[in-house]
Amino acid sequence: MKRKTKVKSKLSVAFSTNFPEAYKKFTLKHVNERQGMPETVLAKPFRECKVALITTSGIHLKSDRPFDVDNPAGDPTYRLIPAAAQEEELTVTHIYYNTKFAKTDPTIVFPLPQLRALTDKGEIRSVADVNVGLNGGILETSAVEQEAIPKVMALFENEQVDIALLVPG
Amino acid sequence: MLGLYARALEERGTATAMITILPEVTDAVGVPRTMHVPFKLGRPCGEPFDFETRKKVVDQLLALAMKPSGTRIEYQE
Repeated sequence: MKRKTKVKSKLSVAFSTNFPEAYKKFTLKHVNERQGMPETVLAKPFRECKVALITTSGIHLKSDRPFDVDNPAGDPTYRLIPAAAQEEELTVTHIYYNTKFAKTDPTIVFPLPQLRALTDKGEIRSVADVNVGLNGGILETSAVEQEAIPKVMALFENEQVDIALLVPG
Repeated sequence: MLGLYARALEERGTATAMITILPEVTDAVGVPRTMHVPFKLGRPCGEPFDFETRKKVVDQLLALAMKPSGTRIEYQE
């Protein structure tokens, strides 16, 4: 991480921590409002469902390429995390929240062990092998919508994921 | 950005349930199903090593996926 990015990170975290209302206003200002509410109705019980996790907390395997936080536009790419990944194999790369806690216990942003436990108890059929790590804080989302989302959708269709649980950073 | 994933997934046959810390923002994006949590930014599933809370978050989030699109719930302690 460049020095400039470190300073930007410190300022951003201080802003969102100390001025939550202003942070909320800033975020709302950059939201593109969407109309309509798409819906998939689950046609089977949970015990027959394959479930995936998606998070914008910047999580990825330590062995994978970290997100490019030095890019001022943000990094629109994704990282895949298999169902069997262990906590010690995971880390987070993100500059808009304090990652100290998620590095200590990744389940605060990526509750994969808790999802696996539901499989063990037979409450869900399985955890997908296409769990997705993203790097949040991207204000201009066209690259996300035109490139990353279609690729992730194809992976999910191929894997036949029934339910996705989404966790912000 | 996460809300855009939620909408795209619902359009293509995957049901979603999303944690939100800023409900005004996720409502504006039209996220199909959200659960508002009282936790801090960067800790959307609770504090480190609080696995009891983590399990409650996952259980309640999963149950939300079965509700109609447009459902908004509050996390229950």
